[in-house]
Amino acid sequence: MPDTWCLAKFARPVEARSAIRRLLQSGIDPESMEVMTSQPIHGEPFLPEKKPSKLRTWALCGAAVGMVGGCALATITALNYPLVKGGMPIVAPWTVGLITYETTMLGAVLATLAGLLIELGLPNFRNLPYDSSVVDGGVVVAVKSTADKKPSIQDVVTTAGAVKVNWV
Amino acid sequence: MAEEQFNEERINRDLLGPLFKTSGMYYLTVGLLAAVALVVFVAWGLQLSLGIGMAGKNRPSFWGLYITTFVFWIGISHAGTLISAILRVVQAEWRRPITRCAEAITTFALCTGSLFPIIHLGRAWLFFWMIPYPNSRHLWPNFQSPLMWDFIAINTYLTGSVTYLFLPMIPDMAVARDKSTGWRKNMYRTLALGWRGTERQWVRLEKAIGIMALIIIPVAVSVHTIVSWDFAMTIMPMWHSTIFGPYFVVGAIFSGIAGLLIAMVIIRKYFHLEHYLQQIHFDNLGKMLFTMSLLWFYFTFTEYLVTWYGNNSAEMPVFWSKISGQYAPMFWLMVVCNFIIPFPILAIKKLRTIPLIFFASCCVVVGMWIERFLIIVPTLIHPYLPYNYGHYWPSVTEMCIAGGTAGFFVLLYFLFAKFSPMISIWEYQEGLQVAAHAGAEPHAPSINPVTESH
Repeated sequence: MPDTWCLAKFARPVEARSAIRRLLQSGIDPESMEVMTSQPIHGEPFLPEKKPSKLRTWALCGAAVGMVGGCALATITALNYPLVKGGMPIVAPWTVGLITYETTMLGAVLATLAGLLIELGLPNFRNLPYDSSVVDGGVVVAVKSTADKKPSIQDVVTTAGAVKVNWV
Repeated sequence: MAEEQFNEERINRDLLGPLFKTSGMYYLTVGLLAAVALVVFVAWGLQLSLGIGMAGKNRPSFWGLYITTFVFWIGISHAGTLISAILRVVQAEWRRPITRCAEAITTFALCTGSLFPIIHLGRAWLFFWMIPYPNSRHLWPNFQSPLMWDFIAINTYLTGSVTYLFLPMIPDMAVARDKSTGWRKNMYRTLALGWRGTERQWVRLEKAIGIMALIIIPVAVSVHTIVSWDFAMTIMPMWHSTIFGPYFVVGAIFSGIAGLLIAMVIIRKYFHLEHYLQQIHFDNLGKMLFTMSLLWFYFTFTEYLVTWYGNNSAEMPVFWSKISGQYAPMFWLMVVCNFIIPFPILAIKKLRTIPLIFFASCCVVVGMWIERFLIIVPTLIHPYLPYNYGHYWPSVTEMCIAGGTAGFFVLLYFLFAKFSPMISIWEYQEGLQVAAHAGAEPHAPSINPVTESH
């Protein structure tokens, strides 16, 4: 039998946190839960972080690739067709430095964007659990469940103060 | 009657309203702007078919209105991403309603400004020669030329700015997706990339925006510094100056803030966002504009004082042409627009009202365009050898193209405002939440219902 998702909407984060605590106590795997909001909610996280973000590493790697790429582009192309320009050396460190600086930044920008999309698995147009009313406020807790656990989950979220519960 | 509470529903309705409802006035405005933009492309088409002689450029004034307007637009582009990034990094809470307006200015000002070097080329179809790509003759762009630095820097800034504009738009696209129907729903579904607002998504998005803000600040500074080096790297009178980099950056931020204030006043009035863009936002940006006005005056004074004191025989004709010669009316108009008018308006609290700030900002934008013109043209027509002195007067084609791009820029901005909320919905909501947490007075009549209870 396929899994179903319980989408419980809470008016306030404190109620959602309480529901999550009870669900965890009742043995629900945190991996099978998701919390959706219309804005980032500050304070203690709702769920333990599954995998820490590596966006800084992405940015640094992108910057490194950009730096090497830009330096190589400006140097190798100058050597490829060596012409003295403005009395400067064929490979002028000042000008190579400028190009390298810009490509370093470009690499960091592109890698940060790529890292974000990859870490979040976006774009993703599959039919994932979602309650569009979340954009009007509140906190939606999505819990993956099997048929046998359905009543207990329904009970926990209702007791915690869910204003709306949907099963999809 | 009690004012309706500022909750998510109300904010969504207010900020998404302009996307879904289109007034006849909007169509009329867009039509007029499109007509102005058309003038640019017709004039450019004529120049392409009849030759670069259609422009008023001549020997020795090889650069004229096109490069003036290019530098001007690149300066205006500093309004957005740079200011938004600085305010994000310092966590200025009042930034929230203005970041989107600002970031959009950067993107469209860069798109507009980037047209000018291509228009200035004359043979615009050879533009691709600047792109470094392998070719059979092993010819590569000359990376020792400041124009190539410009090309690389502006492309980096444009890429960074578009990314920096797009990232905070993703959650708003999701709101638009959930609130729209028909073809709009399909469009916003694609643009939202499948965003659901999960905790994991928010954490990573905020982190990515933070990283981008840190990257974009040095890029923005480098862009206008490099634009200044187009001039400073040449040994031309009054161009070969070591302070040109910071002078241009200050001027760019100055004109950028003025451009942003003008856009904010128009957006506020046009899309009825009076509750969101409040006096405090204009007041704070007005103070920033005031600071930049003082800095601009300081740099200008330094630049001219040192030139005058040095009494260099090659530089003095340029200097006097601006102070008391043929360009004196423009020079003093620039001083009036950039300093004399904004100074009292922005310094005296009582005068720092939205209409007067708007007026001061318009003056600054005009003054900064004149400043760019006065940097470029007087030097070009007064080269080192006096028998090479020349004259410059822009042709009708140049004036149509340079002036028309204002319409082109505003057109892009207005079209964007029909497709994306001009105030970041989620950031605004987050701001109310932060204010409620801190117990501070939020910049709205009431607080967000999504708050932690204590």
